[in-house]
Amino acid sequence: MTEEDPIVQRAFEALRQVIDPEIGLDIVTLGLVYDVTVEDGALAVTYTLTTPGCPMERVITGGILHALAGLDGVTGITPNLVFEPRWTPGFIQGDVR
Amino acid sequence: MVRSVGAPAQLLAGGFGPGAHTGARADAPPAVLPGEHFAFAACCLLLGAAGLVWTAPELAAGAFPSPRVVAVTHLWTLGWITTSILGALYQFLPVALGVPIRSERGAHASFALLALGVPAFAGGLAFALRPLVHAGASAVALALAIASVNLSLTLSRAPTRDVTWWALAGAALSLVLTLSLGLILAVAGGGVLGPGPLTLLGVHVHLALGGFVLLVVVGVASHLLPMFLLSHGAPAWPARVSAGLLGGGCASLALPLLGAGWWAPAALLTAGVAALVLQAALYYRHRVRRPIDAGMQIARAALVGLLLTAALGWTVLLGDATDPRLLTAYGLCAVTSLGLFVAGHYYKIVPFLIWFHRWGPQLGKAAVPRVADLTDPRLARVAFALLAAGVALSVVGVLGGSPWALRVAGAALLAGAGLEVAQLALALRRRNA
Repeated sequence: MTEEDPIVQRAFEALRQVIDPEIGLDIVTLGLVYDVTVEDGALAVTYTLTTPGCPMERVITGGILHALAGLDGVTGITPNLVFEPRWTPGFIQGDVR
Repeated sequence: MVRSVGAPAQLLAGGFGPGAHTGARADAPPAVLPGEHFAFAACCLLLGAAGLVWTAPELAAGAFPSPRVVAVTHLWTLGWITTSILGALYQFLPVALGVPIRSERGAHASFALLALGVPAFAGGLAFALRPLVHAGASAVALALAIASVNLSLTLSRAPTRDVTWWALAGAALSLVLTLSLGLILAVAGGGVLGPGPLTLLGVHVHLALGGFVLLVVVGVASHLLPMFLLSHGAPAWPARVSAGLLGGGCASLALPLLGAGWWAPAALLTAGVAALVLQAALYYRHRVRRPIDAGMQIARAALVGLLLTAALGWTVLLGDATDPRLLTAYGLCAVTSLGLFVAGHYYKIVPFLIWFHRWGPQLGKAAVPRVADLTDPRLARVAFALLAAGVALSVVGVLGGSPWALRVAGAALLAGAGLEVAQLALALRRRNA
């Protein structure tokens, strides 16, 4: 399914609740969410962290699960943490300055 | 594989402890381990700043071997800087290197010995109570030996060997060597300073600050500065060069012990500091977030202090190497600048830890504050101004031989440290988002 899928759109919206507390921006605006797909109601979220040694790994992953678990029509969630492509500040949407 | 909704529910129910997620990083220890280190270290910082006021006459006279000055120095180096570093490493290593601390029990034991040993050692020196000095030194020695072994065993299990690993391995070795030389100093000649003490003292100080502390700074900063400043992608080679030069500089400290002079270690350590400052400058220049918060302002001021320290060191080497006030100013500048660097990172690390443990589990479920919301940026800037002014004025006070300038400097440091500690304590009490 594509990003036009209503569940995927709602998933992206829900993921905006998940902030990086140090930077103060949500993970969608930060460009940390690479992809969200859905198949028979099962969401797969491909995301990264600002750096592989980020201490926020478990908390961000937990936040993603929390944020998506309550969405109507979602039957499962698979979090896929990747480090390729490596995140850079250029992925941030808008002006963070 | 697609998990059912029940699977994430199990993940959530499991909280954020071991096994809750299949990620590659190891778990950080419970907050109590770094927390106890930070609380004790903060007390030592406040005492050390007050000690600067107390020892102002000796410092102004350049009497750096005075037992009271040695006592206050160790409140800064052992109580504030080393205890802070150990607490931070116990939190940092698992996430940075992907391995848990080898022994949390050993880390607690090491802390307990430090918490007993540092006040005993410093108090014994300050009030001429020799049995207390011996008891304190023994406890500190055992504490640092345990910490070094624990750190080394943790590093030995790390899957990667990056600049952070090499820098921290060098730091662990430097800590052992510093401790050994400190013990030799303590027993040589039956006093704090034994026969031929100045060279031994110089090597001890440079191993401690140039080896242990600066190598930790290189290793940790190469990880944390890009995260704090959002400067990913900045060239990272100066950190590797810095670690190599500082390591080489520490190895070359054998030369002064063999009577071969200070030129090689001075050149290598200075170049190592320059490379560290270059690395930090690259991170600051490449940062995406233009405003620099108080914590990073304090860290930047501390790096300027390190450059000033290097300049003072070369003034000693090229000029009168026996000028007590110059030597005192050099040592004081080094210790307070590194202390300032640590103080800057407290503004980043402590609120983050509080947030991590208090609001991390709420992420995605409820509104949570930002880490920056836990401290008042205006008060933090006031603390920064007081701390930086205190460091600068203390060096000026020693060079000018002014006890009053040193008292004012100590008061500024005490006020700045007190303000920072109070802010962090208030952040700890905060419950609402």
